[in-house]
Amino acid sequence: MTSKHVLVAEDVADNLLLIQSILEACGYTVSVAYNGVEAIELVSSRLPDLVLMDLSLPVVDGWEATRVLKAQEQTRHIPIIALTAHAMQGDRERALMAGCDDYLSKPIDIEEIEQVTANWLARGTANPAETSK
Amino acid sequence: MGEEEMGTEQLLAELHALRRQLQTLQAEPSPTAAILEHLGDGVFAVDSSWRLVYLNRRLEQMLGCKRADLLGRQLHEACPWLLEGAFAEPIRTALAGQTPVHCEGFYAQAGTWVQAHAYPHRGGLVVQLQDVSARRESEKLLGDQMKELERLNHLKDDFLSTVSHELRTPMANMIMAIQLLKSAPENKRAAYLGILERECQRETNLINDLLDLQELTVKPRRRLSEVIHLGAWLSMLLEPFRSRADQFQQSMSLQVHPDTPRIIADARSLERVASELINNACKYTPAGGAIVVRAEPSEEDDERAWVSLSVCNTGEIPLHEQERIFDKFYRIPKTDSWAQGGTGLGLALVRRVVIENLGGEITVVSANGLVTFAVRLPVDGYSTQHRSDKEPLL
Repeated sequence: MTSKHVLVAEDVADNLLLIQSILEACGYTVSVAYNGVEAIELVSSRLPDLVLMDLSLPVVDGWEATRVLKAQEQTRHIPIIALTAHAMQGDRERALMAGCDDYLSKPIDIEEIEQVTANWLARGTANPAETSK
Repeated sequence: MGEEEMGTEQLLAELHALRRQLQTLQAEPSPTAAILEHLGDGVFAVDSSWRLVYLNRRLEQMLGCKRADLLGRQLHEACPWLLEGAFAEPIRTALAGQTPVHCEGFYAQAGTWVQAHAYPHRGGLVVQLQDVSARRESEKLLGDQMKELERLNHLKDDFLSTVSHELRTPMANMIMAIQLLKSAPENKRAAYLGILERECQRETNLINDLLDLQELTVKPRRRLSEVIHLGAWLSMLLEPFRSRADQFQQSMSLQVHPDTPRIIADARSLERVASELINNACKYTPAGGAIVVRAEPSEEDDERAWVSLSVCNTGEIPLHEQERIFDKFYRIPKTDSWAQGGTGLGLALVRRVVIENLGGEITVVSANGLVTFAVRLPVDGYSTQHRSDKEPLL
C-alpha cells in the first residue's frame, strides 16, 4: 500500500519544517506549497489525500485557495484542514463556511496534528468522492 | 376684701391672662408652620375638592408665582403642571384613596427631577416635593464611570488573551522541535536546533517588548532633555544600517532641510523611535528599493514650532491596514519581503514613546508606491499642558 500523500501550504519556514517533520514521522509523503497560488496548482496536479492549509498565505490567501479547490470538480473531494493563527470564535465558523473540512488552531500540538490527519485520511479511504463537511 | 369680691377679681385676672395668651398664640406662627415655611422642599396642601389651601415659600419659588394668587383655586387650574406626567396618576390615587403615595419624575416647568411624597390629610392631601436633580446627576456620572470601567476591563481581557496566545506560540514550536530532536537523524539536527534558537529569540524579544510597553504605561520615564542637531545626529544613527542596506541592495539616504531647527528632546527615546522606523523600513523594502530619512521644519501649531522626522521607503500599506498598524501585535501579512517577522509590538511601542516621552505625534501615509512614517516633534521639547492624547493606557 502506498503511503498517504499530504500537502502542507504554509509560508513560515520554521512552522513548515516542523509540520512536515511530524507528518513524515507518521509515515506520510509530504508536498509543500509556500503560497496560495502554489497550493492551488500543486493540489490540482498532484491530487493529495489531504491538505493542511494555513489561512494567511501570501499572494493568494488560504481562504481563497480553499474556495477555489472546493469549487473545482477534480479537487472538491480532497479534505482541507485549516491552520489558523487565532483561535477566535468567528475564525472557526469562517473556516468551515469557506469550505474547510476541519480546523486546527495555532499554536499546534503534535498529538493534535497526528490525530486529526489520521482521522481524515482514514475517512478518505472509505469514501473518496464524498464532499464531507 | 370679701370672698366673693376676691373670686370675681381672680376670675377676671385669669380671663385677661388667658385672653393675652390666646392673642399671643394667634399672633405667632406655630413651630410646625415655621418649619414648613423654611423647608428646602416644596410643600402644598389641597382639600378634598383639590383646592389649594397651603403653599410654602419654596414652592412659590419653584412655581414662580405668589401664593396669594393661587390659594383657594383648584390645583389642576392654578398649577396644571404639578399634576402632569409621572405624577398625575399617583397623586390622584393618593387623594381619592386617602393613602400615602411616593413617586419620582421630571418637572419640565421647573427643569428638575423631583421626588413627590403625598400624604392624606382630612380628605385632602399634603404633598412634599423634593428636588433630586443632584442625586440623579451623581447616579448618571456613576453609571458612565461604570461603563467606562467595563470597557477598559474588556480591553484588558482582550489584551491578555492576545498576549497569552503570542507567548504560547514560540513555546509550542520549541516543544515540537525538541520532540523531533530526540529521534532525529544527524543530518536533521542542525535544522531543528536552528528552529529552537529562533523561537527562543522570538520569545525573548516578545517578553522584552511587552515589559517595555508595560513600563512605559505604568511609569512614564523621567525625560532627560538634550539639545539635538538632527542632521549630525541622524547621520550617526544611520551608520550601522548602511552596510545592511548595501547587502540587501537597498539605497539609503538622509535629507536634512537647511532650515531645520535644533530640537530639545529625550535622546534615548528619539533614538528608539528612529531606529525602529528605520529598521522596519529595511525589513519591508524590496531589493532595489529606496529608504529616505528626512528632517525638516513642520507647520507651526498652537504657537509652537514643530519639526518633522520621517522615514520613507518603497512599499505599500493598504488603507485598511494603515488604521491598524499601530495596534499591539498587529503584523501585516504578506508584505514582509525578507520574512523577518517581529513581535507586532514595535509600532505600538514607538507610538507610546512618541506621545508619552517626546510629546509628539506619529502618522503613516502610503501613496504612489511609497510608505512614509512621519513623527512631528515640538522644537522646544515636551510640555505636559499641550498633551492632548487621551488614549487609555491599554
